Amino acid sequence: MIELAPHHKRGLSLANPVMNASGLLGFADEYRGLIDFSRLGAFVTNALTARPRTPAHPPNAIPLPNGVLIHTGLPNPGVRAAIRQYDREWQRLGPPVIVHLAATTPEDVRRSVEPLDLAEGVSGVELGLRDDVSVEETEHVIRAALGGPPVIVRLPLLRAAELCEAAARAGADALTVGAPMRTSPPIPLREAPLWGSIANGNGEGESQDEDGKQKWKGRFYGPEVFPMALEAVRAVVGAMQASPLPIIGAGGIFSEENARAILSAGAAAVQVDAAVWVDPAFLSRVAEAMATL
Amino acid sequence: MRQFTLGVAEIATSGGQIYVRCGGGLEVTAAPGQFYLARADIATQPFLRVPLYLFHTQSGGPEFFVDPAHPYAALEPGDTLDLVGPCGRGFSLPPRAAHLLLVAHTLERLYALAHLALERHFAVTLLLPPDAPLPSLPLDVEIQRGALTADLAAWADLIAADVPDPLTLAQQARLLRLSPPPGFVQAVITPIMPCGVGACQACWVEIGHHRKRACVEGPVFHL
Repeated sequence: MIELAPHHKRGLSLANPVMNASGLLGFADEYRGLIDFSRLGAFVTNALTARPRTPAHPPNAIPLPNGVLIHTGLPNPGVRAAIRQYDREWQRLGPPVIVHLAATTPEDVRRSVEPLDLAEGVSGVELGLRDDVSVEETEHVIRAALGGPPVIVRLPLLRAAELCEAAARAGADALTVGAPMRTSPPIPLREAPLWGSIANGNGEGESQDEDGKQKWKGRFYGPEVFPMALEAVRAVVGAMQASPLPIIGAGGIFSEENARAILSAGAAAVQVDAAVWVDPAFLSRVAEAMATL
Repeated sequence: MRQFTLGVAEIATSGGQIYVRCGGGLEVTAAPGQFYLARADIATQPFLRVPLYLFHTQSGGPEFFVDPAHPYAALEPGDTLDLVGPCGRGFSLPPRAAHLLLVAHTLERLYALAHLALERHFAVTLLLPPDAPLPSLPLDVEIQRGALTADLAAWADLIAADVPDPLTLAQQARLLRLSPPPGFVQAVITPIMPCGVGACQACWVEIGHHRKRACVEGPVFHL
């Protein structure tokens, strides 16, 4: 068993080090019939917020030859509605369910954690920090999340080493390293590849600032993220030697070798992201392979 | 919804369109407009899975219909397709309808519907842009070119569309046809759909004041 919250009164034990990253598999069992959830160490939900959120205006996905940019606006029904809608499914799903909370404000995080603490199907909370979060804000939102289920803090990939000690100081039980970086497409939206029936570009002028720079930004998913993720895990493991926390490595894992390398670098568990969209069976396969480690 | 693999048995070309015929052994079904998300075992292809539309299932195996620009139009016999699906909601032919108007720039996503309608003895008309190449279709399908007219809108019981701006077409149809029946304009709208199961929240389309996920609430929308 892998313990992700050894100092929390409830703990968060996983039977397998492999789980999905937030935003990949939906809120509950959208992938039923395609993924064997019983093989996973944990199931991580799409992002929830204290209040309901509507999706960002299209386009929400820009395909690139080596990956995809995703910008959804984190649409969700809000924490309380999500609990009403999904808690029974979470209890039936099999592996521990970790609810991903977007770390908006300390007040909203506090309001979100209270009902999650009472939800029977929730075993942990993953707090997703904004890419531009300050050290001070990091500590505030994490402290606001304490007192309920174990708290995993997902750090921005490129700032993981900078923020990890603040997260530990504030009381995080574990760290996810990290959230994919947000970036603009290297080409104008209207020239992005298209394999559908409608254009990728939306309203006039929507995709560019007045100075012609792209303002549409999305999180980049693809195998090229992996070297950065591996380096970030190593950096965080190195920075946390004095007071180590369990680390979940994430970003660009597209092979069993990738997952092994992240675990060998010192991570306790791994999150698989866009490889699931490319091959849903990959998640069960890599979980089976990592179970024998 | 399942994930399975099929071997490509034959690539056939007819009238500038391409049929990917696969080997048998598995039951593959889909309503016209539903799709499979496919990935081939070839070196150069898009990062994400690509929608494939089932034409029909012959006794020898399922057959997919693709445009020449489709990433898998260059598959070869012996290649393998990994498929997830069937995904989404397809077209619905109203029980008392008899006249189907197809409005399309490309037939990839409408071809199966045209054949199903002919099997059900519909009169089928295809409305193409003036400069679009003539597709290979059964002789029973009447082909017209140009814009939607009041005569066509009055004739049709159902307009099935695959055009770049389906909302404008639906507006035109409502202006040209008084008291249109429910589901009068059905359009296929397919943005990039990374997951195909409604999980990734990345295929939202705006229909009026509503936003819907194309992969589960579409790709065929009643406008």
